[in-house]
Amino acid sequence: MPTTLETVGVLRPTNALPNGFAEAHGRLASFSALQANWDGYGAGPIPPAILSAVRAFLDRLAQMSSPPVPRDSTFPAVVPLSSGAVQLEWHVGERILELEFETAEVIHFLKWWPQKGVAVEGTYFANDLSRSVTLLDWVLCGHDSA
Amino acid sequence: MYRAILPAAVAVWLPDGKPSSAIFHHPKFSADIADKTTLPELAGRWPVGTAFVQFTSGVARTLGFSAHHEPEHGNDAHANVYCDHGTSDRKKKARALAAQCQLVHGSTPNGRGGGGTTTLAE
Repeated sequence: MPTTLETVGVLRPTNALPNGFAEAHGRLASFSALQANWDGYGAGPIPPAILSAVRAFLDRLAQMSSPPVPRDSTFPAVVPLSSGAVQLEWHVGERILELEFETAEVIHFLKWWPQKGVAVEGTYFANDLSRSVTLLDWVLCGHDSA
Repeated sequence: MYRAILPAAVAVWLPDGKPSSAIFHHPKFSADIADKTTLPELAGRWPVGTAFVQFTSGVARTLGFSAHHEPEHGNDAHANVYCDHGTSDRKKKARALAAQCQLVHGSTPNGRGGGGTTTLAE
């Protein structure tokens, strides 16, 4: 069955974004102002297509009901990379999840919990929302089916 | 070793004072050898607001990085740190080094920071 918002969660009103996601949107918007060499090591501006893809991704997640994105969800850090990619980071206790938009279409993820021997990375298509939901379920709730 | 984080990057690479793996997502990046410089000297060479994170070359080596003393532009402390970034483990390596480094100079947007004094590492 294809993944849709109906299959992975119930749509929530757009005025009821989880707390951290509105802030994440604000930070993401600020990246469009980053100039060439903003990191001092030769980084270029962040491609608008990647910014749009991350924005759309956050919107899709924010419209889902809990789980995996409860209203008091841990704020995802939104981090630009020198490569032009954008990374979302969740730090929940000792668990860390990084979702790096290498391109507008591809996410490179890292599940990180070295105390438990978890260090897994890989890539998947950004439109595979069910994969993202599974990873978020792991970092936010500790459910390990990812 | 010290890695400089310029002001525009401080705001995004040190969320809540925790170094992001983004600091080390490079197949080659610049650093300064602590034995060949001091934090005040470094701070004087970079713009106001620059932060510095510290890690040891020994730790970096065990994680798959390789530091080489390569002076440039009159900076004898300059080193390049190389990492053979295979697509299958580049994020693990960057995350592991971020977990091992610490902010030693400068403050973050939330006001957290290393006070500017520290024991110099390798």
